[in-house]
Amino acid sequence: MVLVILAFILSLVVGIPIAFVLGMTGIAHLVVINYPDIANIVPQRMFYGINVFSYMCIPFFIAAGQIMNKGGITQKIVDVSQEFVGFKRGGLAYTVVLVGMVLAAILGSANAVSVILCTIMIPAMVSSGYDEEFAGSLVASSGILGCIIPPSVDFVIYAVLAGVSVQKLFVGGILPGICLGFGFMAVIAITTKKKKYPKYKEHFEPGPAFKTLFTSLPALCVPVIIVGGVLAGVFTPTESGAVACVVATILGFAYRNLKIKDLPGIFASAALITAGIMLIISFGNVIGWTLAFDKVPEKLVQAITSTTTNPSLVMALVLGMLFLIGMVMEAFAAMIILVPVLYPLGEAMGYDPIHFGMIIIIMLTIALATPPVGMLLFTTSKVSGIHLNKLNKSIWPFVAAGMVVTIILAYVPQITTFLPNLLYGK
Amino acid sequence: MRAITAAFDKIEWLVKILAAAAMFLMTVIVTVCVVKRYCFGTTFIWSDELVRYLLIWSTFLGAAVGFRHFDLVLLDLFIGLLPKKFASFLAIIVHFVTMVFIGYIFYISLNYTLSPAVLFKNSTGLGISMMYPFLALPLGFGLMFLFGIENIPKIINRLKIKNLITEGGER
Amino acid sequence: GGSGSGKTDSGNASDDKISITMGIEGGDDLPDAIMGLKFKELIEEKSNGRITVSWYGNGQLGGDDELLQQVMNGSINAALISTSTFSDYSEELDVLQLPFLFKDYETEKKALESSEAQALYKDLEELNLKILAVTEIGMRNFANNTKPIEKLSDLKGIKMRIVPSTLVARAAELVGMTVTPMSYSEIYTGLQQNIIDGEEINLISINLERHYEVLKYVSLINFYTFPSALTFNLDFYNGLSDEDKALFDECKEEAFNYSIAQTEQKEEDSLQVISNAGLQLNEISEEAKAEFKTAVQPMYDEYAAKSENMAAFIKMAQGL
Ligand code: NA
Ligand code: NA
Repeated sequence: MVLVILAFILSLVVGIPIAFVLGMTGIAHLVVINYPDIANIVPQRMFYGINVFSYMCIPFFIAAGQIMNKGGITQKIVDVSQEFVGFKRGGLAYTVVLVGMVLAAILGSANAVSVILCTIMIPAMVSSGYDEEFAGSLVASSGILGCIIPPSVDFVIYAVLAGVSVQKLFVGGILPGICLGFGFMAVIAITTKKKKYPKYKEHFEPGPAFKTLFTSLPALCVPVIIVGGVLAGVFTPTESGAVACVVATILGFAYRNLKIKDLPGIFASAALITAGIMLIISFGNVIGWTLAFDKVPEKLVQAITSTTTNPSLVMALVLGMLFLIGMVMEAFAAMIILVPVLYPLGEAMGYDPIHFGMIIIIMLTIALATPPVGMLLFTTSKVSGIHLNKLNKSIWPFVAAGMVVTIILAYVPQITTFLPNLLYGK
Repeated sequence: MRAITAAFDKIEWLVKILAAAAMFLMTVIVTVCVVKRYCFGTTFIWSDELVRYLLIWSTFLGAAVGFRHFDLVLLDLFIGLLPKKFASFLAIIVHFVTMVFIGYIFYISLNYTLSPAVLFKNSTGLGISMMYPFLALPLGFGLMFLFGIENIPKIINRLKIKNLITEGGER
Repeated sequence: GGSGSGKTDSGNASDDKISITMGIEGGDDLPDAIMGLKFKELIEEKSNGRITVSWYGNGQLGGDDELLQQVMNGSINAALISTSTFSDYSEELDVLQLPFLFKDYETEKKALESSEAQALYKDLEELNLKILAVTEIGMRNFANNTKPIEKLSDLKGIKMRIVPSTLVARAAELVGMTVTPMSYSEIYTGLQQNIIDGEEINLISINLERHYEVLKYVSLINFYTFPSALTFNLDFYNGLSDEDKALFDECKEEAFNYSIAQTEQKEEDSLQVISNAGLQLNEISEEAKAEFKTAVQPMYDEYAAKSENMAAFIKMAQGL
């Protein structure tokens, strides 16, 4: 196992593309355990790792965002938010978190939330004088909310694996999601003060504000249709991406900023950006399989329980373990191999299954934004073009805020269990 | 050399056209399904499958183009700290290792695509052999290997000029 | 690290240690997992620990499709796989799921053990698969949020998610179901957000997957069965000594009997959970059921025409 970890670190630092790093690590692991069927299992895991319909939201939202940028729709949305929040220092940054929370309440995945924010909010923030790496890391961390504020695909998966109520988990995610949002806002408050980000205007002026709102009404159709369509049960969150593309295209034509000849370039670029992201998920699925096959999660849990049986200490060790595994794995894949072994551990330690599950999911989701391997960082870097190194540095205040919130949530279970118990009883 | 580059440019152009077409088709199919389900309550049994396979195809072919332009996500923080000459020398070794890896993935995925477990499996919705969706893997990695060979002179040349990697993507 | 997959080189000596890797998509409470885990317990006990089973539950190694490929290739030694998954390669096992073929689990049990069924299993050896035993995870019923299904015409216009399977799609078409494909992990939120109105599903899964939280009506029709097969890689199986093969047979027999008895028990427990959750349950009258049966009748001839073994199985099952 030490050899495998060394192979991972070495291939990572010498600058091999991360997708290949994951593939090489997986293969190294199989070699070390003397596995005889590498040639079959590797291509199989690579294919099925991305044979998942819900990943479609990534290319759809990238394309929709680019169409909106080209069609001048993004600018309109930004104008409106500037009019309404621009008189406050850092107003646009707070807006990102709030929009992230609203999107999170509609979409089920972290990637979907941060991809939309990327294409719309990063250009807006940069043009208003924010540093691009601050904007990028804010967007990446706001994506975390996508998994925590209900609905969330991760909750459904956990509920089935652990045999607990999905509804209780959904409701349980509300307060932790809001806490995380506040955590990120605290980072914004400190950063904006330190960096003296500009105000858009001195005071709120109702006249121009509502005039802008009125002229931008058609542009606001795009978010309204996405939100309304999902809430009304017309389409799934994944499908909403395709609908957004179509609506944005129609509006872009209507505003006369978008031409048919722009579309092939936009679609090709969305497909190529997605390819880079999916290649990482594909090779990551190889590692998921090798860890499960070698029963690594079980071994880790045994190591924890042989160290201590104190519930608080076990919680601390579990947090550490999730943080480490999240560094190399996707949350979705990590959950499938971790929950079946972690759930009984939590039960044995006397933790409420809703609370324990919430901590697992939050921790694995935050790990999506931690370097060196964090899907949200890759997505943000790819979609916005901000260099990964910059994001890897600027993300830490947000990760720290997220960790502080998680630790509080871990040791104050009432924040998570209060709402579900109130609504559904113990 | 120039002829090869021109040929590869053509291939890249084709991949981009295919990727754009796939993306366009995915959008249309999903939208039509939404409308059809809203109006008639039912959709095509093959749509979800076709959309997934299109994404898989554009992933592996698109990734090859990304590789050609040094545009795949990587961590260059530590390389950036090294002396330029040494970093460029290391880039050659890294490229060699990567090429061996890509060649290996090409080889095993081609074998897997032609193995009975894939060849004789028909997809439930479209009813096609699973060989067709899986073919994206060997094709993508085969292309990647070719692009990698094309890039060898570039990487060696840059040993003389400057650090290759921190220059980043040229998308 | 542990040794990769399976047996040692000389499979004939009966003092060789054998370790079996066995996977499943679902959780440990499903009847097919119960069969697999029982098999594990028995074989480890009866071989005095010489044969061990590494168990990979909850889809840790992949879903049904992926597990089937892994067993064919020998990436793992064995898995429990829904028989409908096999139809991408061969339609032979589809016949086990013909609508209304079995009136109850007792009849189904007899059919699954019959020589006609063994002949079907044997056909899959072409795919390098050895089917040891097939159990049942529960017959499928209609569950939805629009209204109780009491007769054929009630299905009209209700958006139902079905399992991706040629046989199920054909049955749905014949009874006039409005079919909406949806990936498995999206069903819960799909039901909650009214993107789909309902699903065809077994009671045990409604319970284990918590779908009762987002469903209103369950109509008990026992439309068709949902069997699951304990499948080994054929090369691995052929490498076993004759004594070990006999031991496998003995254990699978006991595991099968144990698990199929659990199916009915688990179904009753699930029914209790579902009705306690406030869902409205309804039976479908025999006259109404006759309508459904007439509608799917063409399938009997269609599947009998596909192969002699399938025809023989249908004939046998109808005689039970
Ligand atoms: Na969400
Ligand atoms: Na991470």
